[in-house]
Amino acid sequence: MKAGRRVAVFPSIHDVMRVDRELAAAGVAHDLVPVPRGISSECGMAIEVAQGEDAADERIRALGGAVWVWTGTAWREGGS
Amino acid sequence: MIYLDHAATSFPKPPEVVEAVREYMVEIGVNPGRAAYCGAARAAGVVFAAREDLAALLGVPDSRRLVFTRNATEAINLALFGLLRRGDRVVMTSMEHNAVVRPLRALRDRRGVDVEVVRADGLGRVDPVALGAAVDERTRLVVVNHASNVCGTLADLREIRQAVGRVPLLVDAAQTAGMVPIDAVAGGIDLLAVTGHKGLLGPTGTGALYIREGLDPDPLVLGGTGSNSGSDEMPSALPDRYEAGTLNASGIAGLGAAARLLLARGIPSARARDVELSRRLLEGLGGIEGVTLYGPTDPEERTATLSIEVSGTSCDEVAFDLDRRYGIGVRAGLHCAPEAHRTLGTFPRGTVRIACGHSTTDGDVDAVMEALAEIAREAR
Repeated sequence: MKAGRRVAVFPSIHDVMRVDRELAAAGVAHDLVPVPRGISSECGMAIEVAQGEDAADERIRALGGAVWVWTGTAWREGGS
Repeated sequence: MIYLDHAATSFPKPPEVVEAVREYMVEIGVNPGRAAYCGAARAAGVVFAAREDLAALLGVPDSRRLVFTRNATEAINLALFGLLRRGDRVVMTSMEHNAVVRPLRALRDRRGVDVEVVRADGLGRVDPVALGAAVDERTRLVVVNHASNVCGTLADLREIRQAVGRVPLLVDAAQTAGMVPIDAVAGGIDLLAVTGHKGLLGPTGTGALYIREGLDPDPLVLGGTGSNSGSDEMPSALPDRYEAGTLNASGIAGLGAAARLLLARGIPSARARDVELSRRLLEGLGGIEGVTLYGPTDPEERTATLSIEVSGTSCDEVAFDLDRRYGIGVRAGLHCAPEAHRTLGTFPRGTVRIACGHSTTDGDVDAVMEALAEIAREAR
């Protein structure tokens, strides 16, 4: 897995869908992905934000999300 | 059939609703909120859109606080069983449906909850001042129905909100959601229970409860939510906290389509039509000898759900005649609201209920009035 992957996880699928809609409206490239096992054992959905879209982190946090980054060896919560 | 039983469920459902259910079942079909493949995301999107649009219709800015239920009854049970504890006191009106009366009876028996009943007047009108006077420091909740399912009497929610002070207010809007404007948050409603299949025009098996921020009822049903799965406790995040188990996603798809339809049409226009139908019925039925009408005579104080009796015959016979001789479907009996009938003075006889809806025409109400004139004449 490539270092620098950024994935946002949320308390509920409702929040995922809400942020999906907001990011789409703001033109932020992203995709819906399964929650990475290294972050959580959730069976639900997360949002992977495309490379170069770090500016979305703040908005994601404001909407209740937590941004995780793949360092190359592990997932680390934080983002920009 | 001329259908005048819309207080039980609306019929027919709009084509947009039928199409949304079909589309979900045929073209989407998968479980929303349990996975991330494209189909699951599409399914989750349908549920999300339905929640957003229903929340907009009901005046709920944060749609997470609108949780889906099977119907208004389940929503009311969630609020009552989730909030009321041993030693609490609850105030309700005598116009409540068994959806409220029976859970409160059980809470009285199981948890010792004190239930105070404030009687409405003979037209089904609840005095907000009397409700306010019934509230004391142990009162945990006040429960009122927005409109009677028996005789259509509307409660003045604004006055009631002011009269009961800071005590949480649970409104049973089963008979008004989709027909009468409701602005939950701006109106100071703390808990709003709606059913999806009546005035909201959605499928049966759908409903919702709005829960004001700061209230945290215990979940009624516990289980999988697709979130916080590693814990054996229910998640704290809404709506998941109150939506254990797979949702009725196809029904919710239909409910979402109905909400969008009603948002486009505007609830005020539905309400104006409801008032027109009430006026037509009140004027017509009032002129039939032998017909007794229950509930307010001012159409602005009621919905177009009217209860009547015909002297010289019983409500079941009238309903049977209307069906078999005239092809008109109405409901006879106590309408699951015995306290309301005691208040109106029609217990245990019951009444014939004529309940209009979005699709009711002037011709429909004229037909029932002509039939009732004939039945009343024959019964004299």
